[in-house]
This record gives sequence, structure tokens and C-alpha cells, in this order.
Amino acid sequence: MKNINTAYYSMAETSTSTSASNKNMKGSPITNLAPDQLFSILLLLPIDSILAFSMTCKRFKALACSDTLWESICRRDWGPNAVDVLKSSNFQFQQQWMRLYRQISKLESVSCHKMTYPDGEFELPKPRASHSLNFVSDCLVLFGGGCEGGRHLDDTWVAYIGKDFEKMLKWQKVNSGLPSGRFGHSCIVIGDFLVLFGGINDHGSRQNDTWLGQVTRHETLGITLSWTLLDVGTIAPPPRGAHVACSVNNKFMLIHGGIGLSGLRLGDTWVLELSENMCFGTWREIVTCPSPAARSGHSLTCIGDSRVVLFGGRGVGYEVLDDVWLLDVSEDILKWVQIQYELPNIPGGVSLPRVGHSATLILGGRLLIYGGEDSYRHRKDDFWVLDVSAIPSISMQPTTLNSKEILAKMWKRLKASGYKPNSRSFHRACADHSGRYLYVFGGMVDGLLQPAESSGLRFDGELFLVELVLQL
Amino acid sequence: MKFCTVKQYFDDENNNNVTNGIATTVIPLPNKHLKIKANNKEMEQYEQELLRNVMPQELTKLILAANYLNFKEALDFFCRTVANAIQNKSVDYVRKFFGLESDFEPGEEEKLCKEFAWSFEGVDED
Repeated sequence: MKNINTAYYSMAETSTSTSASNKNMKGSPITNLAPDQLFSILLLLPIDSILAFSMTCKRFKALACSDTLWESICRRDWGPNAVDVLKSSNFQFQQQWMRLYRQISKLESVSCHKMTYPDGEFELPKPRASHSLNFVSDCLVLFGGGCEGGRHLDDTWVAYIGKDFEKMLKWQKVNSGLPSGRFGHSCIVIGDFLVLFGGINDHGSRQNDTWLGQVTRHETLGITLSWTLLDVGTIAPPPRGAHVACSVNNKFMLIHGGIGLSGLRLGDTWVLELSENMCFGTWREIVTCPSPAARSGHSLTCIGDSRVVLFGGRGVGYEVLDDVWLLDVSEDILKWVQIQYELPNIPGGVSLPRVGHSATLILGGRLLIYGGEDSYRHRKDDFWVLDVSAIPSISMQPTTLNSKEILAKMWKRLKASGYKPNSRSFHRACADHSGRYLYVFGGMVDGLLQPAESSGLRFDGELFLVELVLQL
Repeated sequence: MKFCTVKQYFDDENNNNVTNGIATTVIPLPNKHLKIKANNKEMEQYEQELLRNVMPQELTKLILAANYLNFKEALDFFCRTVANAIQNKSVDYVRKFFGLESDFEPGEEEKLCKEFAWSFEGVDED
């Protein structure tokens, strides 16, 4: 503490710059604050205020643009995990955190890469849709899904990815039989566990069982995955498929809607809480009013800070939806809040309504929305970024967003370069550690499988990579 | 620990940058803080009062004093007050608030404005 006194005196004594800076030095005590204290103030400010501060004078420009500060800002806005992963990865950004932050905010395009497989006789997963694809314990895990003829699959496939993205992948089939075959199930990651729920089998039976999956890597045995049925007691959500689920704060699983018994679309919200030892789970229903209408094939994604975003899907009247809902799980009284917006005011917004799309959290805390189909069953190949943080907290109350500026930040269509994958719906996507790469597998694409196939449907078996383009 | 440093402060004759005026504002803070800790609204009112009655220069001196006294809650409070005062304000406002003068070359500021344009949205006029 005493050092501040001496710093003050030495600055005043050694200052030999222009008269303007001298004026600044002697006239304002603000310049006597140590960088750490100034950083404490700056870290409480939104980005534009930090940059306004940096434009006041040369000294503060140097301070407010320092990478020490911006690493803390990245930690604050993206979470410590994302920053640690970036630091330990091979990504070349020379620790220029301010530049990286800007590039992520200004994200304009993605680049797609076709995956390659090593030479030799390796079995690959069959083409499928409505399967589950997750990134857990440095591995990509694929389970189940529906394939040609409307049949279900019950196979589990694992591919080791490691700490950096790979364009060459080796799939390994690790299990068959358990859990029972199904499609339209949900599967999320909590810690090192996969949590799988529900789904439909090819007899049309809806399930409501919950399974835990854990990956193990042996030196000699390679990769194995064990699935165990979770004991949830007597209370469980009604059976369903084509519902959505997401993990919240790496502790809870939240599910919504789907198609239940008798083919009825559901609009209920349930939370699963797991015991410390992961041996027992407790389900409870969250009843709020208003709440998102009943639907299937929508998306539910956690954007950090206990907040989840629900988007799109197909409603009870078979209509394809485009509404966005937000739920903050940390609040005392849980309530779904709809973020209303005017579609015509968004450039290209007419293509937003969709079902069977994927919504994945990417670096920077935003959602990457890809694919899906519209009410005419036309499949899509567009990429959109949904930014819910752009909405001022005031409009957590239901209001309609008309300001073109705010809308421009909320929905942004990205350009896509590189490999052009087929338009698809009911595919699955998941991000890797860094949040800069998305793996996409399968789904329904256009094209005839056989001349006899009149529906024009084809199940896809392709795995491709989507990269966020950062021009550093 | 708080009271130790306060005692040390009073005994210390070399504390040139912590005047008596500042001490009378900072010292009563722990009691006030404890009293209104539960009530956010009152804290906000106190903050507004502070901003009205205390010049920005004094505010920064308060930060230095709180730091010297190792009084974390006061330090956090004053930092937050300063942050709230300059949040969403223009560059000129921030300069005036702290009593700074621009020492940029002509044209340099325009350049910076363009460089940082990606973040400026919804900034208040003074």
C-alpha cells in the first residue's frame, strides 16, 4: 500500500512529456491509481465503455488496450474454461486477447471441412438421422438414430479427438444393444458423463428411461464406453421423442416438449438433478405461465450463467416456429420469457422458422444455428448466429424488439466457405473444447436413395467440420 | 484486520495522500455498509449521494485511501461507483469526469474511433 505513495511522487518527479500530459499528471488523481485498480474499474464496464476510456489519452489507451486486461475480459465474457483451453491449445493468436475478442464479436463467416479417414479397412457408422452426437472426455460419441426403412439403431461409436481439432478421424464401434435402439432421444454432457433420455423405437414406443454413459481410455484396450440405467425413483417425465435437452451449469439437465404417447406434442419443462455420486437422479416438473407452446424438433441450449435458450420447432398445428424463449435457472421464481422480434426487420429473416435444426454454443457465448427444414419440408444449409446478450436486460419483460440495431446484433446470417455440405435436417452437431469447431454428422438430405424411394429422402452418413473464421 | 490498519494509519505520520477529509468518509463506511448491506436500494441511494457530493477527483482519492487501509468492501464500492458513473458515456464525458486532456496527435483520435467502431452501440450523449 505504501508503494502507491512512492509511485505517486516518482511519477510527478520524472514526468518530462508534453505539457498536456503534465497537466493530466498533476491535475487528476485518476492517474495515480495503480493499473490493478484501474483494471478493477474497467472490468465492471461493457466493452464500448472500456474503449471510450482508452480514447481519453495516450496513457489510458496503453492501459485499456493491454493484453493482461483483455485476457481478464475474455475470462469474464467467455468463461474461464474457454480461455484456459485457448491458452493450452495450438491456436496461433500470440496471446493478443483484444484482437481475438474483436474477431469473435465480428464473426462473419464459417468454413466447412470434409473429414478424412485413415487408409485401411475401417467400419464407418451407417447414415442416420435423429441420433445423438456429443463431445465428452476428448472424444466424439455417436449413439442410435433412425436409418433407411424407418428402422432404429442401437450402436455406440467413439472417436478420439484430443485437445486440438482433427480433420482425420478414426471411428470405433464400442457397444451394441444397450441402451435399446431408438431415435429422437436426447443426450447431453454433465462433467465426464453422457446423460441420455427418452426417444422412440421403430415400433413407435416412446421411452422415458435415463442412461448415463462414461468413456474410458485404456492403454491396451483402447476406448470403451459403459452405459448404465439411472435410478430416478417413481417420478419421471412422460415418455417422449423429438424433445430437447441441455445441461445447465454442468449440474442439471433440463428437458422440454417433444412427441409423447399417442403422437401428441408436449410443452412441459422438467429438470433432472443428479446425486453427487451420479447414482441417483430426481426429476421435477417446472410449471410456468407463460411458457413455450408444445412442439417437437426444436432446440434448447445453455448459454452459460444458468440461462437457456429455446428456438423453433414444429407446433401442435404442424406449423414451423421461429420463436425464441429464455429461462434463467438461477432465479428464485423460474419463468420462461419470450424474446419477441419482428421477422421482416431482419435481413434474410424469412428463412428463420425451422424444425430439425441444430443450435450449438460457440466461443463468445452465442449460438450457431444450422440447417433444419421449413414448413414445405425444404431443407436448409444456412448458418445463423443468435446473440441473446445483445438484448438489454430491460427487455427481459416481454416487449417487442423493433430497433434495427438491436436486431442486427440478435440475428446474423454467416457466410460459408470451403466445402459445401448438403442441406439437411435432423442432423446433430457438437462443439469441441475450444468452441471454435463444430462437428456435424448425419441427418436427412435431399436425393433419392433408390429409384423405388418416392419420398425423396436420404439419410446422410457424412461427418464434417465447421470452423469459425477468425481473421487475425 | 480492518481496525489494525486504521489504528496504524492514525499512528503513521507519513501518510501524505490520505487526508483527514478522506478518512472521515472512509472510516464510517464499515458501519454504514453493515447496516445497509442487505438493502441494495439504500446502497444505490448512498452511491447517488456520494456522486453528487463528491468530486470525481475526491472519488479517486477515496479509492487510494480504501486501498491503503486495505478495506476491500469500500474499495469494491468506490470502484463500482466510478464504473457506474462512466458506463455508456462518451469519450468527452469520461475525460471531463476525470479532468483529463487529450494528448493524441491530430487525426489519431479519429483513427482510434474507426478502429474501435465495432464496439460502439447505444452510447449515451452527455
